[in-house]
Amino acid sequence: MNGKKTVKLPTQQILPIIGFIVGLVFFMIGMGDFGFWNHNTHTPTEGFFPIIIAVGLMIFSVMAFLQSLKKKGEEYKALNWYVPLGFVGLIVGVFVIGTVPAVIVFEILWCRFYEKMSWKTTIIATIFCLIIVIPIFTMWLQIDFPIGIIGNLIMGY
Amino acid sequence: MENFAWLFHGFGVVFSLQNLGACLLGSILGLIVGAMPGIGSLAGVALLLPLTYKFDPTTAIIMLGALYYSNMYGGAFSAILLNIPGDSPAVLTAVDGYPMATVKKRPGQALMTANASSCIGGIIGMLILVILGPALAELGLKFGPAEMTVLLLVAMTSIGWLVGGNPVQGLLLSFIGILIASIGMDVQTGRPRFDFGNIYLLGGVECIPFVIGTVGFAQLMQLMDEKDNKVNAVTDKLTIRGSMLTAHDWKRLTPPSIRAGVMGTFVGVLPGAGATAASFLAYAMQKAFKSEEPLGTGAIEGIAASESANNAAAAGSFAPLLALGIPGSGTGAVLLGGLMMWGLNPGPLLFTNDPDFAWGLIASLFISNIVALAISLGIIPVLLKILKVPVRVMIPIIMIVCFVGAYASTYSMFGVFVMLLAGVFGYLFEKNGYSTSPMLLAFVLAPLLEDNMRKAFIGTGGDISEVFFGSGIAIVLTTVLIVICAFPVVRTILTKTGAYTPKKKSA
Repeated sequence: MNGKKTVKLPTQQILPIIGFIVGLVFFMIGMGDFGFWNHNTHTPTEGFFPIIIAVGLMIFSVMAFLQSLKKKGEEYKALNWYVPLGFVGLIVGVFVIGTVPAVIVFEILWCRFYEKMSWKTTIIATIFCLIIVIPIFTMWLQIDFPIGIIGNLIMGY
Repeated sequence: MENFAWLFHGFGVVFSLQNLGACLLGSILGLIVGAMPGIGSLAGVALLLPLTYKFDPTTAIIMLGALYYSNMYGGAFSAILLNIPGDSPAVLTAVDGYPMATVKKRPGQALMTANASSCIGGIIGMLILVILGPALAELGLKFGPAEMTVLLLVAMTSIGWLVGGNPVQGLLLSFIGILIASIGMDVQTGRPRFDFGNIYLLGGVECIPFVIGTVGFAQLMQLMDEKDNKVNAVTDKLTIRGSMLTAHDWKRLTPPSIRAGVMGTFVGVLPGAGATAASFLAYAMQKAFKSEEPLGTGAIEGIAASESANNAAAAGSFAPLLALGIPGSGTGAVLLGGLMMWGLNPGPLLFTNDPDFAWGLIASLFISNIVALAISLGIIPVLLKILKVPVRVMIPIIMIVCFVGAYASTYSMFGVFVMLLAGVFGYLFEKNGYSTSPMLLAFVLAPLLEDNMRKAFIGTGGDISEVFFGSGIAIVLTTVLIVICAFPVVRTILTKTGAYTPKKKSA
């Protein structure tokens, strides 16, 4: 995997457009479902505040978009996206085999096979993660992490 | 004097085994997180917030306060030994710290200078906090919904303008943060809104997964760029005995530490300024004073000014947070989010309604200062080993921390998805030059702003002039708001007409 591969994207322009769309959606829902001002009681409605903010967001999105027109596209390395990609893999693992096995598999795959670390470093990193998950979060903070489809089958849920 | 009596009462609150343990744990974690290049106090506090679930609110905030505060100590370690600041407030520490460690062959003394001046700056900041905090709270008692509305607008706008360098981008993200916070139950009527038919959104977007994603996960994506970087670490062996400062060194570091401590505290109180601005200003101020060696060549005075100011600013930033409920930085916003999570509402009444909490926290900062200093000295012999833990080992571990933290705060995978989405967008925004701190601040303060704004409009029957100009305090705050908003616009116009030439930033 060549993580150094780059791609240029016009995100300088895309982000203000997303901002504008978000503003527009909140404005439409705010006006349509909640209204702005109750003229009978002379009080603001549930939509009052979000509508003001949505209008502001649309204005600043347009300004940011105009500013961004002078800028060139931003370069993105594939490398940076391995983090969310790996994380999605971890989530899938949690759904299938449960949290603890998924953490072990994830650490081994990432450290040993992606980063090419020694087995010693891989095992230390894995143990460190298991300490975070089991004694700290599961035993001390009493968080029940998902046990996955396989765990549920074994437990007969 | 009454304030100092309350401070002693605060020490009584802190001196329980649980609180001291939390303080110690927070200090150790803060030092480690601060020392690790690229993580920083904001991500550190966000990632470790879920660890405090088990504590009562006072203990939890003591731990987070200690973590935030000792982070300032930790930032100097990698700045001095690796020439990589652990956090942005330590950038100028590296300018003199690294030459002192490598060229002058005094790495231990450089670390000791940073530790000593951090302690001095911190104590000055905390003493001013003891005086200023309750005074600010007393002023805050005069604030009604209208005044609070304008004050919150000033805080949000100033951070939007000041952080990141581009006011338009800052405000864009602030508004996105407010809209995300408006998802869920309405603050006054309890009616669901903007839930898009999703039952998970009925309760709103949870603060912790959102914060962990925006700063922690986004930081991880950025760290991938640095994972293979080679570091030029100091090679000398470090010992505590070999790090001791001479009487002459103390004579050199004390005056700049005191000056920078006082200045840094007041900078820390201002919204949006924070520890980084304080250290830059203190370093610039030091240039106006006599230093034995030129700054930038390994001068003790340079390290002292930078480190004292950033620690003092960290202490000073607690004044508006506790007294008015307004954080001065992204990290302050995360701390405020934590306080709200535990059902506490910082603000003018905190000092009167919950003095144990308010003074316990302030007292814990004094203890954290001493604990962080002691640990900083104690770990000197093993510091290089800690700092040499490669980033590529830390990345998968922090990913697991992000996962368990996001899950634990919501007891559902929905929190994990929110964290992932916030992380990806946080990365995209940071990559394109946006700072996400204004968004975090706006997200945390939005319910308070909406509540006050609606009350103000109900109280005045919708008279906008009455809201913004109805009282002396409101007039002053509105004027400040107008000045903050107008300043960049006026500067742009003056620059375009040639009437003003902005100074070029020096390297």
